[in-house]
Amino acid sequence: MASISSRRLAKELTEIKLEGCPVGIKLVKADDLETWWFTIEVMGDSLYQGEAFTLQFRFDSSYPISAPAVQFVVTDGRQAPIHPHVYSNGHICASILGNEWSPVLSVVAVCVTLQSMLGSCKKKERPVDNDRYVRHAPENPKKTRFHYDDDTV
Amino acid sequence: MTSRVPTVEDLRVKLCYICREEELYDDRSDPPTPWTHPCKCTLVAHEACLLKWIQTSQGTSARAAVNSLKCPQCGAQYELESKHPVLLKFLATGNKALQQLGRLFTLFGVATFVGVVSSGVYIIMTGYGAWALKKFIGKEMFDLLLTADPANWPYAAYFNLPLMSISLVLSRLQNTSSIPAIIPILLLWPPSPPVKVRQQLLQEYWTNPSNARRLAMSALPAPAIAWPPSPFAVGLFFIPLARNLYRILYAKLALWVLGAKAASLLPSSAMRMRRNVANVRRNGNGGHEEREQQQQQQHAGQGHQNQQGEGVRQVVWQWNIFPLMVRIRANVGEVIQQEGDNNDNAPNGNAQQAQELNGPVVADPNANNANGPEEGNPAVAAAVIEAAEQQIEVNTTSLGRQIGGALLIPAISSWMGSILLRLSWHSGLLRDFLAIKHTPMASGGGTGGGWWNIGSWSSMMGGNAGGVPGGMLLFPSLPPPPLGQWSYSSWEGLTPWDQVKLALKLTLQSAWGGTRTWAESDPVWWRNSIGLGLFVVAKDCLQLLHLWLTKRELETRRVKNRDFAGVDVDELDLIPSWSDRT
Repeated sequence: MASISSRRLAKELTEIKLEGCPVGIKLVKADDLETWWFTIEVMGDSLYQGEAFTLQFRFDSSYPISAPAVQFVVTDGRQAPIHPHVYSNGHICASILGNEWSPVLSVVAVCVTLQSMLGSCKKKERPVDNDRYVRHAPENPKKTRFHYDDDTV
Repeated sequence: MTSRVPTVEDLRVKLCYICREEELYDDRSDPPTPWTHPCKCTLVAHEACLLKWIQTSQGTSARAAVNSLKCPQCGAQYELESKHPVLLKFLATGNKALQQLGRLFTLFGVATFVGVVSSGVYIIMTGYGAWALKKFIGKEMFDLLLTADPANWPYAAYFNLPLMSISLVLSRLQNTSSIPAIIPILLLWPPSPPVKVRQQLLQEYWTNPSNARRLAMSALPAPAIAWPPSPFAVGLFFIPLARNLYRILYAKLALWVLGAKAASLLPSSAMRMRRNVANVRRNGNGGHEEREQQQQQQHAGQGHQNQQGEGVRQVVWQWNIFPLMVRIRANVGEVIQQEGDNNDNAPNGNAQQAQELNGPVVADPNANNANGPEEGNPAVAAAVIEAAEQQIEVNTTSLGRQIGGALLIPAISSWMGSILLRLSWHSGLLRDFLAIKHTPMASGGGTGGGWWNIGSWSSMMGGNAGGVPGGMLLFPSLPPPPLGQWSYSSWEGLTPWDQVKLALKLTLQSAWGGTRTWAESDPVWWRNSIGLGLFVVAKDCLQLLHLWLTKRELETRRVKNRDFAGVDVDELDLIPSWSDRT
């Protein structure tokens, strides 16, 4: 089954390179089929105007049956956006990366969803349990069991 | 042709929404892979991909399982067909049920085990608590408050009794003195009313009009201030006050007896040690600066012990090795208070030890010559005390000794209390001080000139022995009644002035003397508290004596000198004058 994941990723990559990403999303690196980096910017009027964030995708062999591990990069001077669903270690609490993941989604679709999540933010703040979570968070955000209680932001 | 609906097989290009593979209608894979169109929109997928997706999702969370069974685009429910006979359903359900039962059983088993163990512990602790209380407040009071039958106990007793052993041990570990351990008993129990059975008996007796009249009459001449004070007053004010006074006095005594500071004898000294380690390090090398530091510390009333060197510090740490955990938090407040207490002791040892550490320096202006007479060289004395402590302390560090000692406190109190009672036969002053009222002999109805007559109810009712008729002894084991409204049937018979006096008296009594139940019973708790205090004093004195004797033993140690009898004189290189003499 590993071939399914790599074939699909190769295909997605080809499409990205061929058709380009949606506005505000740029592929930074995709040297292999395990880790990809994108930068995303929120277009138009938003709290994050002029800010660019780096998003990291990590895929395992069960992609697309299971979701990729997606987080913001917080090393080398990069920052995670200040957002009620984004922890300061870059982990994102979004249901589509957890139990609402569907194989119909793709890497670009995830980028677009997160872009719109930032775009619709009304107040820049960290999640309430940020410090506690960051202290105990696993390295891989997929190992966290988030509770997706707030669908509005 | 009009009503024909296309199926997935009729698509020119099939794109699996899961693996994103395409297949052209004229370029089928070989062997052909089955495709499926499970919903109402345009998404199609390999059947294998979709089944894998569904199967994987069902293995994770319930919500993911639900999501996987509908189309992510149009939301239509997928319909699965499988060989799913009744037997499979039955087996699956049975398996699930068994799993649940197993889980329940595990839970139940663990709960039972924990329950059995903890109720065993609880029963033991409650039993101990009842025993301790009975020892401490005396059988009469115990029978009044609790009785031996747990069925009569108020609900609070089921909390308070088991907690007693814990509080005893904890306060023992926090304080080197055992006195504070009884404070919880004094504060906890007085407010509790007598058990119902007793209350009823009392009520029946005292609602009798003739008895009630006697009560009102005899209550009048009573003094407004009761002796002993209420357990509340004792627990809240007297004991803490006495303890602090005692500490100061004892520290002075120890200083006088031993000639120098004995670190372990002062309560909570270990704590100060710990705090001062940093100071010592900073002052590591002698010199003028250090002396200044010490003078500052003197003013703060601390820092006198840390100068005795590393040895003492280690000893003290060892001594307090078990209470350490408890102490760290518990003693912080106390230390601050202690600093003040020890202030007056600080200058002597401190200045001298500073001198010692600094070597032969000019006299410290702070040096103060008010030392004990035998104190030739205080630093040497301190070193000897240190060694003596080391010698004694070997046996005192065990946790068992601490806890056992704590749990024995009620028995010791009771024992000391009964010694005091016995002693009071010979001293009226002691009898008054202990407020002894009730004796086991009184039930014999002895009205002779024995001391117990004074101690009968009459004195509880205000000390006029003559005012109470012998009928009072009908219920010798009953204390006088709680003054409820039902006992005042003769209230109207009193003059207004007497009414005011009686009311005033009762108000004052309840403030100072606590509840009547306590104030009017034989105050076993009082003599037991005093007894425990005396015991602690005796114990401390014994410890001091032990330390002093050990110290003296160390100081007077000499190695016995022998002559060279039996040694060949020629092998010795002797001075010339020796051969001259022989």
